[in-house]
This record gives sequence, structure tokens and C-alpha cells, in this order.
Amino acid sequence: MQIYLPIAELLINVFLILGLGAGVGFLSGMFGVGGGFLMTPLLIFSGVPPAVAVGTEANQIVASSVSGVLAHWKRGTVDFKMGTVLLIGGVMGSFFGMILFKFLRTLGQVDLLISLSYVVFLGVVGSLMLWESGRAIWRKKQGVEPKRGRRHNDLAHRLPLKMRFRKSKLYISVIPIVMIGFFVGMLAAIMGVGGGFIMVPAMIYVLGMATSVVVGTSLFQIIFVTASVTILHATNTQTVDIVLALLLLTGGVIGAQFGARMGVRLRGEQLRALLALMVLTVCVKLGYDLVATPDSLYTVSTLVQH
Amino acid sequence: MLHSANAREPLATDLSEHEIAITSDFNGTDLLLFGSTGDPALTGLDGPKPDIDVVVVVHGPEVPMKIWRRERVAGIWINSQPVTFENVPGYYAVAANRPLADITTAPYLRSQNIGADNLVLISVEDVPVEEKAELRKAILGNRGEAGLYLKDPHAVTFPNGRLFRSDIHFPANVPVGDYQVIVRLFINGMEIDRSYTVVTVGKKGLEQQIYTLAQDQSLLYGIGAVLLAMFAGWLASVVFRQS
Repeated sequence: MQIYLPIAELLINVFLILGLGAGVGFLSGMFGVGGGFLMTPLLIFSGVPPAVAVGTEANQIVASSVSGVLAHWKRGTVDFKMGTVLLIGGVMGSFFGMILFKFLRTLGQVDLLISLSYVVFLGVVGSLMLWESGRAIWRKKQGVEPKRGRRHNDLAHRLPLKMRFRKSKLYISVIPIVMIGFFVGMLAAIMGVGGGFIMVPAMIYVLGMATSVVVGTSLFQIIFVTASVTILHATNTQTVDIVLALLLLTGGVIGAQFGARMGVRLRGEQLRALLALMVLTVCVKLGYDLVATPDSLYTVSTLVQH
Repeated sequence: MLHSANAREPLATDLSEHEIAITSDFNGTDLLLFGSTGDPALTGLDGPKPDIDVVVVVHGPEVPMKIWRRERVAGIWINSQPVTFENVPGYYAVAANRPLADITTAPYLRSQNIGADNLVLISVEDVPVEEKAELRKAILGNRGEAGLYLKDPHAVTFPNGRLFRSDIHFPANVPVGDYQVIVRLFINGMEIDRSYTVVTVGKKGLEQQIYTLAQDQSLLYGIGAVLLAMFAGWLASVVFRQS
């Protein structure tokens, strides 16, 4: 069954999109990430114009994040105070990211920016995660006790404007928190991601948060950042396709609920290794597309004017 | 004996529909073009039966297009040096009862811009001649791949003497706007008469409303999209609530 998307202006298969949404939603619930880093490239591979993929995916992530947060809230694993500080930085970052996005759109280089951003960030984060989780798995096999407790990043603990975050078991300056939020918000606006794949490691290694609240707090922040990104894209470039978003989120929220349940059963380091592998796969595919000789020496595109 | 064209019955044409509405399940459509060539006996030509040919050209709304030349910079392929074409038809179809080359001369086809190869495409920026040919090829290739430039030299048929008919196919991805349909009657290789009609393609109903809302009330649309998403997320968690 096919449906016509009014903003993306193309015809797509309903079941394909529902399945895509469910699959990525499942992963998002399991790993506590938005899933955007997978969904946006998959949408682009399916023929959706990149600007529409970014704006529409942000819209979908709002839904799956709300669904995920409610599940975590019930278990008491969300630090709302920390999440609020993060989202202040995040919303500011999304505005900045939107300005950058619009500027590159006028140059006709926004597709390149999106692809490059994905390759760089997915590559770096994926490799680090794979190395870290691989080491943890190996250590477990060797019978070595995995390092308990948080790493203490001295710099983060010497900065001013400290606040107490009880749930995260931290007494830390808000400056690094806002900065992380800002950076993630910027990426969200440009790449159509929630940013969890950067925020979760940053929360653990840079801030030293208690791991139990990392996923839930990250999801909480993502809701507000992606909401901001959705509204910014809708008003600046009119590239949010509500029909596509509805289809994606229908599959996505259902998938996320199942994913969250599955995620509790798997071991932390196994989850991280799996996630790292997926991240790297998408990274390699995008990187290949950037360097492989294209079929035609010309890129032809219609300038949408109505 | 010379004969005044006014004594001939004029070429008459019409379409099965003058409006195509793009709704959520739009998957392309075919329109029927039909008409009458007028009585050829009135042309007053003696001798063998004259060649009577009908050529249909459908000219879609103009779609501005931008072409970038791909260059390799530091190992990565990037787009550079854009060239803008403002008057590229978003859709272009030619139909006839036999190959155009058999109907009339190439110079005439060129002068009338009949056929995708004879379309006049003007670039906004100055471009060297050799490059222009490459860019033309890229545009025609792009439109052809999208299925929006169509050619059928046998689409027009004469089921009954003066009556002719032709199917015109509009694929799923046709652009919105007014389409000019020009039907030309050729007798012995000379264009004798011409008829014009219009087809309008538009988004209808819900799709049009959503689109208009997204353009004109974008803040409301954005906030609405977010609220809808939040509601859906909450709904999912409620539906899946378990002990």
C-alpha cells in the first residue's frame, strides 16, 4: 500500500516505513538513544530529501523519547534536574545549529554537511564505544572485576557554578553540562538525531554520572531538543513532513517499548558493543558514498518553489 | 487549385479530464486526448491520399533546476560551480501516430521546439558552449530517469477516419501546476492547424491542507507536530502499561 507524502512530495510504501520505524524504535528503547543516527541515513537512502529527513526524524524522536522516558520515570531512573540543565544548553545549541544549516543550504552544501557530520561523529563515537565495550567484555572473560564507580574527570570538578545532582550522585559545575547539551543540540539540528549516542558516553565519562540514570536523563533532554529542532525546521525550511513522521512514530513508539524491556535483560557491555557495531556500519556506508565515484559528474536538483 | 484553409473544418480536441488531483493514494494517471481532424477531402488536393498526422505535445509547468558539477576535493566528491536553469519543463511528453522524422522535417521540429532534444534551456549564468551540451544532457537524463519526459511515436491512433485518440500518461511524481497541451495537425508534412488545451495538476484535500499549513502557518504546524508526537509517545506508554 502506497501513500503520498505532502511535504517530501513522494510516494512511499506504508509497510516499509512502519517496519523501519519499528526496527529503529526497538533499538532506541534498548540503548536509550533516539535512534535518529540510524533513521535519518535510512530515510535518505530510501529517497527522502536530506532536509526533509532531518526535520521529520526530529519530530519522530520526540514521540519515541517521550515513550521511553515514561518507562524510565516509572522506575525512578530520570534525573530531572540534570536533564533540565542539559536541555537549556541543548535548545540554545539547536538554534545555533539551525543557523548553520540554513547558511549551508543557500550554498547548496547541506547534503555534504550532513554526510560529513555523520561520518565523523559516528566514526569517532562508534570506535571509542567498540574499544571500550570490547575491553569490558574481554575483562569479564578474564575474570577481572570491571571498574566500578565513575571516572573522576578532574577538570569538570574544578570549574565554578557547582550544583548538587542527587539522583546522578554528583556535585559538579553546570558549565560542562550546558556545553555538552549545547553541542548535542547543535548536532540534533543539523543531523536529525537525538544525540544520545554522544550524550550517553559524555555523561558517563566526562561528567561521571551514576550509570543507572544516564539513559533516562538522556531521553528526557532529547525530548526538548528534538521538539525545538522540529519547530525550527518547520518554521525555517518547511521540511517537516507530518504524514511521514506519523508513520515513523507509529512503528517507533511500539518498537521502543519492546526495546526498553529487552534492554534490561542484556548485559551493559554487550549492548554497547552491539550499538558500536551498528554505528560503525552506518558510518562506513556513508563514508563510502562520499568517496566512491558517482554515476554522473553532475548533481541535478529541482529548486522547490510553489 | 488553391484552397482557402477557412473552408476546412478546424481541428477539434478535448481531454477526458482537465484537472488531476493528487491525493494520498495517487499513483499516476492516464488522460485520454481525443479529437477530430476535420474532413481531409476539403483540402482540395488532387492525387494520392494525403499524409495526415497528429502530433501531441504536453508541456508541464516550468521548474527551476540547479546543476552542480561534481569535483573531487581531498578524496571526497563535493558539489561546486552551480548553474541555474529557470525554464526547464517539469514534465514533457510527445505523442504522435508515427515517428516525428517521418512526419515532417528536422528544421521545422527544431523551430517549433518539438521533442525534448529541441527544448530551449537557458542558463542564468554564462556557461561555455561545450559545457552547455553536457548540462543539457544531464537535465534530460535526470528528467528521463524520473519518468517525467515521455515520448511515444505511436500513441496517437485513428480508430475511425477523422477521429483520433491518444493516452497521455502522468506518473506519480508529476509537478503541481498548469500543463499546456498542443495538438498539431500535419498534412503532407506541413502543419495545417493547431489546437490548445490545459490540464491542471494540484494537490487536493488533506494533502493540500497539510502542505498549505506547513507553508503559511509554519509555527503552528511545527508546534502541532511536536504536540502530536508527545501525545503519541504518551499514548504508547499507556497502551503498553504492564505490571
